[in-house]
Amino acid sequence: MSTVVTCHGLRKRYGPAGPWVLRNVDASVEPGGVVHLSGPNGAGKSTLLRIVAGACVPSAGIRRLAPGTAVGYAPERAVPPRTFSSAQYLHHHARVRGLGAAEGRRQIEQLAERLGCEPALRQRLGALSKGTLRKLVVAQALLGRPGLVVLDEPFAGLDVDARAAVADLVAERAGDGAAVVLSDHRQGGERLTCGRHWVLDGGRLLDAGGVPAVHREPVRTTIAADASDGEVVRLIEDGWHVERVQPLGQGRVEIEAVRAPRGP
Amino acid sequence: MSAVARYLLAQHLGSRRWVAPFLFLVGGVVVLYAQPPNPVLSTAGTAAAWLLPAQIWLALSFLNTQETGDRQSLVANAGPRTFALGRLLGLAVLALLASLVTLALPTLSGRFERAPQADELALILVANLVCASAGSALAALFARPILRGRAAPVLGLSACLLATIPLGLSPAVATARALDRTGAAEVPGRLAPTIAAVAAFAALALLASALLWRRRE
Repeated sequence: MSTVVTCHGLRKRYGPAGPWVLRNVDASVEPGGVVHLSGPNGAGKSTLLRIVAGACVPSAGIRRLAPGTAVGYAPERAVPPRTFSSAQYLHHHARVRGLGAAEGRRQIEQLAERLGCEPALRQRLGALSKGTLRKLVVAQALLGRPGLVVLDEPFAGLDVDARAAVADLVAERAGDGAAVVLSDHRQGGERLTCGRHWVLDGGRLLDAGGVPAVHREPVRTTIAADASDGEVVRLIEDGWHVERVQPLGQGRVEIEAVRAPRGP
Repeated sequence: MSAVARYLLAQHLGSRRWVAPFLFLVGGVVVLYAQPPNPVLSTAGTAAAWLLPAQIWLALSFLNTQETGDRQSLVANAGPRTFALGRLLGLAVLALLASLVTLALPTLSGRFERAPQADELALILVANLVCASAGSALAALFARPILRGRAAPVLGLSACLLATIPLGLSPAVATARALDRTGAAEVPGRLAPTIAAVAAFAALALLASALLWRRRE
């Protein structure tokens, strides 16, 4: 199977005399794969994710991204510009991804609604709570439906509902064919279908195999759409099972659909 | 590329880190033109020289505004090449704005001994851009993450500025001399070597800073 990103012999240290943070890491992620990266503090998880995302270069080794693949990266400690409003911040990232104004606005509103941070869109980033900032940083990584999504501790500081929403979004992106690599100390994505589990310790990848997912559940989604809307066709074509259809009036319906978990 | 530049410029504008170097630039130009008669090219050459340290400060504040995690997410999302080009575009916009301000202040307030002609205005703008480009390129070599502290860039840049004067390598001095006591017709010939040297230096410095920055990230 083709891979979205392949890493071979990755080594990294900060400064010419610094200790090796990563030592000969080989790993790859396929389209639609969700990789859960774990390991103790200082194992090199954030460094590995940075390299996988292309935010920094390894000291040695190769990181190869499939041509034309867009990347969405949410670092663990991102401090977005405090003077921007949340909407400005996301619109800027939408433009960086090449989204038009209308499409950018649509995706931003959709993500904000899913993550429960719609009221924050008009507020300055400097006035937001840690959890809301985290949601926005994760949201910017998902804008434009990138082919590779790299999330460093995406569940940190989030409440239960937000963690579930992020897990659902990640599962949906993977269902759409994106490769997802995420780290999570607290197994916050318990509803997430993790196809693989990477364990990093002392800069070495101890296990990059197909360890079974921590937990598996069907992915559920609810959309409101016109009968002619392409979204409905996409749902059915993608193999979603429609469980409930609720007329909303004026030709619009609310559709609740569920998709069975994918295999590892 | 333009989206990255817009992001960085909007962030810089909101941070207000540009205020101090901008006041440094404007204050210097105002003081310089305070004493008449202010011959057009000669005084403009000195103002262009003043633009060099001001632009270094402005460019350094622009390059250092972004927080590390935010920069890394932008690099990953835009791609390192697009990010580097976007930063370059942002620097170019700042250099152009600073050059225009340095030209507009004395022109609009009528501080020259006579109204400058169109060809003189064009030459002054070119001279300003030469110094602003040199300042931007020099700042790029001392910006984060290449140098992380505050003291090292200030000391390094000051040493560079001071050391280039006795060595005859200062673009500020060369530009000021090219415009000093000459007619407009002679300026292009006198300024051409400085333009070529600054263009070569800027290209090398910006390439080196892009490579070093990727290694240091």
